[in-house]
Amino acid sequence: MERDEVLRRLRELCARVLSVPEEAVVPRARLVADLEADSLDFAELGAAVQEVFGIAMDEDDVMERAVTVADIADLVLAGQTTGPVAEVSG
Amino acid sequence: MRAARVGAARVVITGMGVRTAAGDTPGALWAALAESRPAAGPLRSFDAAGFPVDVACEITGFDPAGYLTPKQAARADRSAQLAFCAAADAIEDAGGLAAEPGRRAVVTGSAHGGLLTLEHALLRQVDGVGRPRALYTPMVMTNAGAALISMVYGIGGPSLTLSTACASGGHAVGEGAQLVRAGSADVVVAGGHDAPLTPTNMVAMYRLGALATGFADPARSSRPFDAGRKGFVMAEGAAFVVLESLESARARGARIHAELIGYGRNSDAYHLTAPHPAGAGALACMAAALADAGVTAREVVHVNAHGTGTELNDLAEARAVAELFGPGEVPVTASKSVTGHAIGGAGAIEAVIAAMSVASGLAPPTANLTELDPRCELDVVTGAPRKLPAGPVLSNSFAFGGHNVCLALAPVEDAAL
Repeated sequence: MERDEVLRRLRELCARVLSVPEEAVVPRARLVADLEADSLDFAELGAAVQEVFGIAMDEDDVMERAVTVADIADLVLAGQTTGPVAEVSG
Repeated sequence: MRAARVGAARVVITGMGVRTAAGDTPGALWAALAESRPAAGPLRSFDAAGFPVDVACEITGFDPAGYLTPKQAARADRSAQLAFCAAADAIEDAGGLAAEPGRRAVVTGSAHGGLLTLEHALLRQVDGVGRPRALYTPMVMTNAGAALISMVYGIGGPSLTLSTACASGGHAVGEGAQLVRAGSADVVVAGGHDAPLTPTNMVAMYRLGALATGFADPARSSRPFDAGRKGFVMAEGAAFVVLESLESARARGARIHAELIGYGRNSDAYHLTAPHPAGAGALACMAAALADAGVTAREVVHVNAHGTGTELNDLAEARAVAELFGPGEVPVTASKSVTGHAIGGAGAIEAVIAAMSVASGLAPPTANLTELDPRCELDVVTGAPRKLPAGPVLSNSFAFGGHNVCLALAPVEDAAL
């Protein structure tokens, strides 16, 4: 999946999980500072990323390694090169 | 005159809020009842083509915006959202919670918890494993409503949830009153809620033979005590009251809707889904509420029946009422003819209706009663609201599992001070 497609899907996913408008979910948007994500949101983000992209990512992965939306995209793209862990379809 | 309970605080209702298919305020609900306008309509909560049940009491256009932030709402099942909105209205109606956080309590009743969230996750299963979101468990838990109410309103005292199927809401109000009586809390938000309109739950209740279906006009489907009844109509809904001591309400000049003078609860200890055929449990439960209130059956002016519209309930309840009060001796109303059966919410919805009967001196009519089942020796109010003398009103709830509750409400009687 290309980066643009990953970002497009992440925009929808983050807006739904974080209860924010899609237009706020730009690549440079900071998850905590701009989108007001809390620890429960990170747990939900991890589960949603796994569902949509088929990549296992827990709350700690997202919290420790992703500051911005673009960072999640990087994790997804990196996960894709190592292969999906979970066989689920969005 | 009522015998005073030595040492225990007298408990009054100072706030009420509802979310029902028949109205989203107590006033709107009362208007629907007074005009016998059933909320039952064609089932629309999900694609019902080919579905064996064709009717439900659905709350259309419900939106928790203005009560919950988008994030709070996204983290709450519809059942907890309904609970929160009804509780918020009750608290506003009471003029806020007049006690410090540690002296505030909340008691909720729910049969199903977050059933929509649960079913959504399970129906999307892959290889036998559901696909839950991370917040699945705290959204499905039956205490989710109590948790949400306690967090937003700073309720630092007891927050409890009980689950007694169709009696949950009545038990929540009764046990909430017990907290005030026992001095465990000064103000209690108490009520019940459920959002049970899911395909699996409705099919299950249909297979059990409990649901009405197949009427040409869906609005005619809920017919408690009528010879043509076929079962109950499933509803979603919530109702909450604010309870406090009479002393507290008087001291702050609060409006009092009704006094909760008695609380009876017991068990049939008989059958998983059927009431005792002679209504033995129901009779003992009403008697317990009267004994707790210190009043006699002769003083009771009205009974808001459990009145589901299933033959098993209606016959057993009618026998119990006729035995306790005498055949046709007390005016009876079955509000579920208008509201449908909101399961864990029902007892609390009917407690609010009973409180409005106390406050207005009126028994609302039972809708859809065209031919009283001759086996029900009852004076069922029909047509128009009936004037009542001032006096105790009972509200019954009898559940699957044989869990019974009866609340006794009355106008505040100064002479008993």
